[in-house]
Amino acid sequence: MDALTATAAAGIRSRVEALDLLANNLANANSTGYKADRELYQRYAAAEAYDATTGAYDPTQQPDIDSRWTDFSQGVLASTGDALDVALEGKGFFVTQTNGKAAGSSPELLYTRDGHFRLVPIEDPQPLRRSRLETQDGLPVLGNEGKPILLDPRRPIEFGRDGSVRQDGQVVNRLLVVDPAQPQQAQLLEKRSGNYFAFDAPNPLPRATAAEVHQGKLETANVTPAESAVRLINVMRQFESLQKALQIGGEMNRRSVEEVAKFS
Amino acid sequence: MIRALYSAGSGMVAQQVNIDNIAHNLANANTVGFKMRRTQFQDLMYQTLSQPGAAATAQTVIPTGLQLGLGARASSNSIVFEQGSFQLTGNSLDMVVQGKGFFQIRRPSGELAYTRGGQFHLDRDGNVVTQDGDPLEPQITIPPNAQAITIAADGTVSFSQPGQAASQVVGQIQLANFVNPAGLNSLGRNLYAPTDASGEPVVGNPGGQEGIGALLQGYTENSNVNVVEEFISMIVSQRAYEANTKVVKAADEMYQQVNNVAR
Repeated sequence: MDALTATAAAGIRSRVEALDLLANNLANANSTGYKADRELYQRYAAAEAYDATTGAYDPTQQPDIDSRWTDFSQGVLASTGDALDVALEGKGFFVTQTNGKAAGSSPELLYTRDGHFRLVPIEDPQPLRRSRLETQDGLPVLGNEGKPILLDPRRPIEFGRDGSVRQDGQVVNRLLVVDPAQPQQAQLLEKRSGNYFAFDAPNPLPRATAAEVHQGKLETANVTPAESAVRLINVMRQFESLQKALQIGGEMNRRSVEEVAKFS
Repeated sequence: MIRALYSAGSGMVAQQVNIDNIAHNLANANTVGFKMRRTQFQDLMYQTLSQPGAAATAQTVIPTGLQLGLGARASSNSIVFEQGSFQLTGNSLDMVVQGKGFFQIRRPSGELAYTRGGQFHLDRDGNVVTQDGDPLEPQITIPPNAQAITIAADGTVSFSQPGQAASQVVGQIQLANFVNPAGLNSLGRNLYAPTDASGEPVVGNPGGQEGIGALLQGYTENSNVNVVEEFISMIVSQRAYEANTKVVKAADEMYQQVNNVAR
């Protein structure tokens, strides 16, 4: 294959993947705490340019989507009025833990910005009949010392800006809100289904310093329709141009074969 | 290509569920004691094409992998037990719970169900029943010669008889409370049944236990559907649906162009 066709084909493939990312973003435009995915294109330069600058031309380098990155910008905090809905303003994540009951799995920490919580009765050995704060999938929301938060369901619950949980004016626990120490580490958060992120690192993430908790609100996805529409047009038009390039390449090949090498 | 089509499709399905829920809320905007539901969404699985943190060379790692998400789903629509507004009816058997409690209703099957709709009537035997004729639990029976029925804030039901100054107490209405009311199962006709998620009902006298709420006679509780909020959700949902259809169209057109490459 000639360079033009190969490059254009790689470009087309990457635009298809860009559309996949965009489709997922738009499908999740109403998912609470969803963070949009964006693509990163690998740099592509011609062989001559490599020779002139860094040297070492790598023929496998194509303008592929190398990776995606997650746009962790703040979503809008929409008011719900539900006392068990909490939203985060600023960088940070609530922490939950899987029970590890599924075959071959061990308890794993999952991070989320979806603060649609509920109180679920548990078997409390004490006569307090406390309930556990859980996400909508039934994973416990962690508080002090990385333990589940147990609350008295019969008394009003207040969340402070710093994540403190108060009942009857007493601070009974504090939501664990964490964030990677270095901003670029946030990109190592791996997306899981159900608005969760996983972070594969030996040390647990440190407490967030720049996150505020807002009660009675939920964070909407940071996908805006207008911006997505522009991106959609971009992807489609780039795809079209690349398809034209592919056609021109094919046409050039055809001419060189049929007309240049013509002998009568 | 196929991924984008299915992701957008899942987004459309999720928005349809949302519209269904909004329609249900709006249809019940005038139902006494109705509690609205709010739909929540989640992202689906991610297909990992390259793992973040995988080794690119001996010294370097790929800083961010390529994970393609496969769409969204409507994960839950939990009941929002916000208090509705009160409306004065003057009917002596209309009641409002000012708090979190539920009236207990004995269903024809013998099981108990729970409701916030406090519009009651008398059947031919003088029993206090719901609009469907299911009796209130504990049963309250008003004798036929009763004149004015009074329900106190603590649930005590009394009536006065002609020619008698003192009123007679016939019983006390009790309310049930749940640890997690959002986990209740909707039975329709404004009734709820307990589940493992809601916990067992805790029965108490109105106004007594924390948060169970006092009774207010002569009022009904309006639904807590906020029509303006529902309309805004509807617009947002409709636009999100439209955006997803645009992606389907884009994917279709790009597919078509791919087909045109090979002439």
